[in-house]
Amino acid sequence: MYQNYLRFALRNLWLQKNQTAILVSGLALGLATCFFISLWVMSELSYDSFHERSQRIYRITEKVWTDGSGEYCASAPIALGPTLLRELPHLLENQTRLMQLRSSSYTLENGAERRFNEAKLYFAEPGVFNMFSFKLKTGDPITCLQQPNCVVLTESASKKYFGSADPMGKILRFEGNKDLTVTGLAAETPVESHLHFDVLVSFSTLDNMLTDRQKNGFYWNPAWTYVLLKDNVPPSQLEAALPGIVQKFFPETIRNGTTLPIQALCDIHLHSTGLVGEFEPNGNQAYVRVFATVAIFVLLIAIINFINLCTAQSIRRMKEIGLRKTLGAGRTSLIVQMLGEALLTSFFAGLVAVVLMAIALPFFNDLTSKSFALHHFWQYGGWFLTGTMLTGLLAGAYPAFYLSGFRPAMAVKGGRGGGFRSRTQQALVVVQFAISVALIIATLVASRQFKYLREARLGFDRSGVLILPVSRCALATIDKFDDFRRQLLQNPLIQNVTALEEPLGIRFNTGTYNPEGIDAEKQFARLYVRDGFLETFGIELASGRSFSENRLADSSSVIINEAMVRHLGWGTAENALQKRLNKQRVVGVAKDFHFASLHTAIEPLVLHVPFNNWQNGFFVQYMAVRVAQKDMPSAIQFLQKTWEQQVPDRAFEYSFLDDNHAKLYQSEARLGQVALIFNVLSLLIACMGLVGLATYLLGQRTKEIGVRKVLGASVASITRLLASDFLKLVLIAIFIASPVAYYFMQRWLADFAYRIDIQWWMFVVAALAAVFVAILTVGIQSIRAALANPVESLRSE
Amino acid sequence: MIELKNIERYYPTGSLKTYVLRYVNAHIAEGEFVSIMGPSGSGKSTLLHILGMLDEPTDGEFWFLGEGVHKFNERRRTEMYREYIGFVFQAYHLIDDLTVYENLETPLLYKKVPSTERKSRIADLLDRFNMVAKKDLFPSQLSGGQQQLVGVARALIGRPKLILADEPTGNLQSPQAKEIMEVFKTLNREDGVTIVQVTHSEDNAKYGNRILHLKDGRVENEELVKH
Ligand SMILES: Nc1ncnc2c1ncn2[C@@H]1O[C@H](COP(=O)(O)OP(=O)(O)OP(=O)(O)O)[C@@H](O)[C@H]1O
Ligand SMILES: [Mg+2]
Repeated sequence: MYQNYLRFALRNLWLQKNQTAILVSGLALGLATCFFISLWVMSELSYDSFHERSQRIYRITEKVWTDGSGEYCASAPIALGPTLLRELPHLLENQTRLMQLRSSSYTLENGAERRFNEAKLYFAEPGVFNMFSFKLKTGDPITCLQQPNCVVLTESASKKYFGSADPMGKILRFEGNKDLTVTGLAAETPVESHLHFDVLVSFSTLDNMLTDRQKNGFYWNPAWTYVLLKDNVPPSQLEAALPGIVQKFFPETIRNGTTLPIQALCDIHLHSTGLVGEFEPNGNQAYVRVFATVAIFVLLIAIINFINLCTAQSIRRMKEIGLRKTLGAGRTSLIVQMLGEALLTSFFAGLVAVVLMAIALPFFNDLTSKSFALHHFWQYGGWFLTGTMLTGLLAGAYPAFYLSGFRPAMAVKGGRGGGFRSRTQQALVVVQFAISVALIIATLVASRQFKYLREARLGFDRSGVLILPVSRCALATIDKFDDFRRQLLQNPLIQNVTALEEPLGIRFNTGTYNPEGIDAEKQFARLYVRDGFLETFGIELASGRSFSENRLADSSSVIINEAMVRHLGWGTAENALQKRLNKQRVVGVAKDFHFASLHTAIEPLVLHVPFNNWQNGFFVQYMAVRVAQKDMPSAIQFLQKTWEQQVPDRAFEYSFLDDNHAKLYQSEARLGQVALIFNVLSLLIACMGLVGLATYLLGQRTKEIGVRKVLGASVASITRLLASDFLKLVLIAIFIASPVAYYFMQRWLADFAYRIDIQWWMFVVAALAAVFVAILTVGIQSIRAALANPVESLRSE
Repeated sequence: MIELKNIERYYPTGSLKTYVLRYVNAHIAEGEFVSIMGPSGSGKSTLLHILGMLDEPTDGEFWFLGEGVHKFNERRRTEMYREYIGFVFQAYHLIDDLTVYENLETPLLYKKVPSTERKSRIADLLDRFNMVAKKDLFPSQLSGGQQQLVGVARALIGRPKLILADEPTGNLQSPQAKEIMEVFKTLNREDGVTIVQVTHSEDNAKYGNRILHLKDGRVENEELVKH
């Protein structure tokens, strides 16, 4: 019996080739899409869980907050880690710190030809290998980072400096002034890590590079600090103990506004919004949520599709089912037969989906910059198979249980209650279309928002600005810098030169201020710059003047932004002039510009110029050069030539500010692309469903169409008749989808400090797209049916 | 075998009830060959559907082999189809996706008849109805009359104890029709199969031993056939 079912099922699939193709490919696309998104979501959710002790590792962050302004930073004072271990021995088993000096990259060299600037270089304690689970290929995890002047390289970094030779015990020169011994070779850091390093230098190397105050103070907070809780110690105990630590050790000026929030290691990647001073941009749980929803919806569309088409097909078979009953078929055997057919189809779809995924994998990896491999398929293969089979069961269940319960008389007297007039079918079509319409709207809104983030008016001009790291090189002194600048400006291709503390629009630091008329110290965002700053970046003044070239004149001047004027309640920009911050005079008020990411609102900001070499060396890390955009290559060439003459100790390295910005919004840009692709896919699936359904339902009405034609109906009138049925459903779907999409996207946008408004045209576009697709597919099918020879259609009944 | 008491069947049309069958009383004993006649729309097919348990009466009692059919559940009805009833539809109703051979085989599969026996029974019937050459064709590739023949053959193949046939010869020429009537007669005489047929033809009706005349849903009169 069962092999007969199998034979019939296969033959049925074959006889209905077109329907089967639509059925199988629609579900396959849906499964593949959903599985891909799930892989991405799983990857995002699994960050840092590869560490064996990830459940017990916490990061200590520092939040200094007074009156709604201040800093929430991923790193903490250098002394905090050891202090915690000493003060809380009953809670903590270990601690590990990583840090970078105030610089974006360091020069390492193995002879002059092998000199590179390393951006992913960190000073690290041995815990990286014995508390975390980063893999060490050679070297001792306990001792390799213990002694000063030790360095651990990843394999790819080692290749750069030593080729294929064994690097162990070899020497690398650090910033031209220190020799480091290679004591370990590490595996590449996994993609799913919030921290990726190329080079690790032993933390103890810092000992003679920092002052005692820097090492032991609790004000400067450059060290990423992780602690390992003892077994069975709940994190709440640590949380409870931290305020005491703040009171005991932190300087009085910030003691009351400071808290030390802890973050579970696995939460860092997705739950770090609002934190500054990260290793690298993190993920965002809002995106993960959006994508998980998209995955569910795409799968839902595919399943509804599948159910719809299966049901449509089985209505065609109502007569068969009725007949089989009169021939002695039991209900169970009918259910088994129909479920079996649905399962078989979904199984095929699963196979096709696997093939599709194997083909699309490289593109997907490229798109998401993750590194999924085929083995991930097997890892989640069980889920995939279960999902596929469940879909089959679900799709087969409705026809199987519903139709097998029919009394045969209904069926054999000619399928009343089936066909397009069935409420359930109509509802399914509406739901399917509503989901695709909602998804179109969501994509439009999301891609607009991402575009806005990339292109929004920042309040400064970032194009044509080169950024060059200059910290701790020959240009670190004021005179040398000015000299260099004068040389550059002789070339008309170089328009402006300035220097600043952090690349604009990406990072910033904070300082403590005592504003005039307010009897308290406050934390504000702060940026050390050199004169020419406002000019180089094209930032406009609301009042007052820019920093002057005569630096002595401005050694006790500051420029603030409009947000600061508002925050301090100083009235107009004019009013703010001559007021004082920390006894420093406000000489200018700049119009607001986005010195931080667009994810956050513009906060009050103070601009300083360094007044001595020490300040300059410590606070000014980047040179910013505005070059003429008409001949960038020669401008850069000139810059390089001059650099190599004047700064021989450091490799010439530059980046475009707008590239840096693009990187900052890279995840948005990428997600925008991914969203678009998945959306096109979901629309495609929905269309395929519509085509399938239209084909099928029109097939049901071939007799009616034939009769109408014999009675003299025109092709146009028949097409109109058939298409209007569908269009009604699509319109209902649009009316359901629009408010739902509006509500959810409004909530999603609320996560952004700067956002677009949802506009009516987005709904119109989505509606038009849906209507167009519906008219097109149904139209083609209708015309085909209407043009067919009536004898054919009448005979087939 | 069959006992009908005050059978009624109506369809709700708006708020009114349209009666298709009313006060139908009948008794059909095992081994009888009964013909039902009546004008178009008089309820013949409806009555046959009720006898075949395809449809339920809206009122009245239907006893089959001493059991109340209203108490039958799905499982019991399936059993009836497997063991007792062979149905010939007015509109033939073959399964479109199955070949002639497979259409004939299906009831045997449900009855779990072993494979060799299936083959010989099907071959036998195909031969008897001159359809051997057509066995691999699909219903849509047959003429109306040929489809009807397959429909009859399918009703016979399970060797039912009761054959319910709705105008089994409506599309056939008289010699073919006659042949089918002969087959029915033989089954009835020699194997004791009970037969209820609906027909418009006086001649065909005479093959039976009794004729029920239906009009407007009522049994107008009963006539015994004299042989
Ligand atoms: N679903 C229905 N709803 C309403 N009336 C129905 C329905 N099905 C059948 N009828 C009515 O029941 C009556 C009897 O139908 P039935 O098919 O039993 O007639 P018949 O005697 O077999 O006629 P014919 O000789 O033409 O086959 C007809 O008048 C028909 O209109
Ligand atoms: Mg009839």
